[in-house]
Amino acid sequence: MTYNAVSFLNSSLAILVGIAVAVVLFATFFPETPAFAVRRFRRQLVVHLGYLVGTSQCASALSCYQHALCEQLGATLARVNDDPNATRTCFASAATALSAAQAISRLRGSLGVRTLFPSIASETSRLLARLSRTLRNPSIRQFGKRAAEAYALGRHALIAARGGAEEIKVLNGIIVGAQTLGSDLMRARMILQGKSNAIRI
Amino acid sequence: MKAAVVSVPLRDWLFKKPEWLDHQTAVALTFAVKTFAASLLALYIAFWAGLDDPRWSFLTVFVVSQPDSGLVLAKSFYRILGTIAGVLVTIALVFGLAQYGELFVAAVAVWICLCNFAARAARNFGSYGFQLAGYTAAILAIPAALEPSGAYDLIVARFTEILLGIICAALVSRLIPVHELSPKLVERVRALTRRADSLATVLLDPAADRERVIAERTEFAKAYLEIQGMQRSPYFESAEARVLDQPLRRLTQAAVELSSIAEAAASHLGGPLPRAETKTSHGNRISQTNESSNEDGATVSALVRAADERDLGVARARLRESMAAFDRGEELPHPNLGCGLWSDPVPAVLTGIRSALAVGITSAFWFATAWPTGPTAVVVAAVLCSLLASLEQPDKISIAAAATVLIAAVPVFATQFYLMPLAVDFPSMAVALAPLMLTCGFRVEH
Repeated sequence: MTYNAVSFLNSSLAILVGIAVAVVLFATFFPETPAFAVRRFRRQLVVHLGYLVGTSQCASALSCYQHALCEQLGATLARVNDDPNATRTCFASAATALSAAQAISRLRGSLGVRTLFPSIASETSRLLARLSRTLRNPSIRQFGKRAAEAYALGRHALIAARGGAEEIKVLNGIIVGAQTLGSDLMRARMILQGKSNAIRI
Repeated sequence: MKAAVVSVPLRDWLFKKPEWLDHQTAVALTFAVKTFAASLLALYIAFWAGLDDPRWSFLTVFVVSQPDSGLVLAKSFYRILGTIAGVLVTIALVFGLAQYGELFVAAVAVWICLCNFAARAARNFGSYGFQLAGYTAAILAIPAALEPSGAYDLIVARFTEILLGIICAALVSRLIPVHELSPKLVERVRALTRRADSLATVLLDPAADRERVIAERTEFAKAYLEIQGMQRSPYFESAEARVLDQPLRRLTQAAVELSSIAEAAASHLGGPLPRAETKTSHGNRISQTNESSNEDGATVSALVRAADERDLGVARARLRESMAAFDRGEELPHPNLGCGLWSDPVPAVLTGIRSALAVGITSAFWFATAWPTGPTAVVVAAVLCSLLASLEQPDKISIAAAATVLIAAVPVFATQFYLMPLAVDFPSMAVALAPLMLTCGFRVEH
């Protein structure tokens, strides 16, 4: 073993230089600010919602979506710990995404009902296919369009359900799913526009 | 399953510890002593076997040690895998590129970039394995490339020393009275189920305080994240822990499901179906409920509320059922869900690029100035970038790391220059190291 003070100080300096380079790079090269973390969190919500729309096993896919969202939310909150606005935006986005996921699951579940009206069934399938494309390339305008289509589907299902209790029972999932999906997409537009404070969280 | 769960109280009774041992200070002291003992054992065996540089065994024990035994074993397992990958890449780099300095450093930077990308994208100890693969290559390859004639011996020696450290840490962690992870995990999952129930109640209470709602949500998300981090580790601990794995996952899943449904229901309560028409940016007029009549709007709201209440009822019932089945030690016939977590590629790519740049910049500085301790700076930059890859708020942690190095330099200097020269044999060396290393162990537990 050598007891060389100069060598010890040189090594300490080298350690500090190594740390300094890493610190400077992490702080300056596309730093992971709370705003960045929130943006990435929202992006993940939308991308995986798109996968949820396209999946065939909806019940387990919804459960997995809820699981993964919760984990991602926890990780994002740990990154934006000091920023209350970012925290609020995360919660607003997560609540909207969970509600949209549930609405999609309801719509998909209703498609399996054999006695569903063919026109409503095809309109629902069309909406889900377009929604899947929209979620791959999300935009405020496209969210607005899909929301309008979801509300229209809800209205059509409601009109068709006026026939009686049996129709309401059959179309319940479509009415509830379409209306909540429409409102979720409208809220998603507001979140994308940076108006998350307009939403009760 | 039943036998395993029923046997837990008997085991608790047999291995009953005094209550004071669970006090935080006592736990930290036990951990410090246990880790120091393991590191001394590793050091002694390394000296006895005549290994090249025994301090690596000593250091490895401190790196892999964790207060909970399941964590130590899981960490050790992934460390071995990561070290093997790092060693193989080091062999390829040193024997293929050591004579081309710039190309060699560029290859090291690319490897660290790839490993840190994967470390950021993966979770828990899988992420740790990738980190290890990255910085093992940096730690081994750079000194080996500087001395190509002894490179193979150096690589084999480091690998043996690290392996010895891992084995000693795992052995002592199992033999000396330890904190087992599975009881802690069971306790956390039970707390999560209670929290899910309370979160659902708060979310659906229109009079609930906004700050309380945010606090409940934050606590729930953090508790869930913590459980996710722990859930894979008890697998390495015992057969009992492995048996409890699926029921605990099911319970966690039921808690998450309840809170998610409550979130969705709460967002519907908070005005999801406003009656006013909204004009979208592209000019479509959207009526958010039925345009024709308020009656339809009321029908829709009633249907949504009824559907939410039904879903909430089902979720609450499932949580209660899972809880009761867990308490009775019974299996529930729910399918096992193999849910994957989300990985965001963009931060992972940025982390990889930052790491490669750090290695590149420090290497350029080393080459340009011919600084004798330049390789140390390169290795430290690579290791730190690897360690920071998967952490939250890496900039703050790296500043804390710099401050720790500055503060620790004083006791390390005192130990190395005043205490170590007094050591004449192994026991006296252990005594000389004890103040510094026991303090480190104590601080690590805290």
